[in-house]
Amino acid sequence: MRSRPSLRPCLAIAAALWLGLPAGPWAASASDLVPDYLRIQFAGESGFLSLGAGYSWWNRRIEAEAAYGFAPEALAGIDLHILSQKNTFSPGRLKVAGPLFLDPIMAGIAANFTQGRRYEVILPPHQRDYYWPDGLHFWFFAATKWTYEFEGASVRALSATLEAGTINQYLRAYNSSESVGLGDILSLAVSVRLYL
Amino acid sequence: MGYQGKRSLDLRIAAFLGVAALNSCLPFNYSPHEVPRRKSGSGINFEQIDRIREIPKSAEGGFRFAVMADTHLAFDELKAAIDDVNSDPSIEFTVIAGDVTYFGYKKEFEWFAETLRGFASPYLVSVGNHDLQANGAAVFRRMFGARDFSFEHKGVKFVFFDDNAREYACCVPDFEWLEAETAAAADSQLVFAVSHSPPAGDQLDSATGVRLAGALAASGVDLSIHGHQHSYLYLESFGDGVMYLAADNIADRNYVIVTVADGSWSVERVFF
Repeated sequence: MRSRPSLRPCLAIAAALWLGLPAGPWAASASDLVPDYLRIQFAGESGFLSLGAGYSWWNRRIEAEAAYGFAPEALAGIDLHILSQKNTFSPGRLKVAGPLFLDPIMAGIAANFTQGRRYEVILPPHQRDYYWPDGLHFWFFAATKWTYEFEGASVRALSATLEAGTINQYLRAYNSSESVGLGDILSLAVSVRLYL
Repeated sequence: MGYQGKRSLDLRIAAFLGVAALNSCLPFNYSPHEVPRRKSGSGINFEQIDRIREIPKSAEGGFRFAVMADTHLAFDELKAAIDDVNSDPSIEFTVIAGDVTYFGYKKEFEWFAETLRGFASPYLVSVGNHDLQANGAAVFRRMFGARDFSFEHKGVKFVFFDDNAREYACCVPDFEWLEAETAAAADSQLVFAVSHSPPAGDQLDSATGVRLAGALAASGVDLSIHGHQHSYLYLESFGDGVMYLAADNIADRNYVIVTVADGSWSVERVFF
């Protein structure tokens, strides 16, 4: 294969994004570094299953998380390992009934870094006009989230989210050809979040 | 294996089947880098060679075939080109000289393969450098079969080979295989080589390009068919008796028809 630069720079960027968010000027104490939620996700171009942890701001309207996803050869044809940094914004929340809340429309973006020598993130200069880096794809999505709030429990809330989205490379295909329809490029993801 | 082990295995099988069923009806995708699972059979190219072998041999012996290249994400133009080929029943098959994807993704290969089903006649696909990005080599192998292959049709030996040398650390093109295949052609046969990049293209360093051009000439290749450069070319590039043909990218709405008759051939560029 052609020469592949090290993945370390991209891993450092991903780690800095994740670690930098809670350690910003809004972090009042060391306890703020404990993630606000844990989540598990099925599909969504970031692995068969991905496990992540994240932070919430503004009454959970803004969330940022980091995750590790994997897809085994039995399901994906090849073993895949993906690191993701994902950000979600919810413009509004509805109280459905009692402790049940609905975020009807959310939007977000995730950067997915596929791990392995053949998935480079930083291309050599002479290839930058020629190839997209194999190791990086952005996931753009819309989502709906249902949240159940627990009163006085150690777990504050449990939520389930359905995402529909696509990646930048498929958007390029959609933009290039009328033969490629929205149904060809859309993917779904389901995730569950446990708020601590 | 005891009962507990068997039940555990059953649960795993049930879980796998459940995930597969969910995936088949809803687009739950794990990664753009997925590759198709291994299938029996040798791939689309070999199924198409079987179709070519079924073409009746006419008394005149001549035939025509189309050459396209660099279809990338231009599925609309590819469909129009296929319709154009279908409107000419004298074209017996079509050669697509590589770069049939942009990112080497399974989804792109699937869109491409689905578009190719519009052909009324057989088609053969050579691998291009874009098709080898990420897991493209594995996707190509599992969908289309081996990257180096050959067949004979009406007195012409067609030799398809991967010459995207810059995508590999070593050993591409496979000169030993290439020389053995061309040496196996009968003296009376024409030999047409098909690969994505012309020897002077940027997919080969200059030493490999010179070696490839020399090997093609020494092997008695008559016509060397390519794509890659997104422009039409037909000339004897190195003054060694080998004619080089490169088809334009399909987005520019043109392809090439090669007519073979009486131990010779002619080339016609077709706009659609």
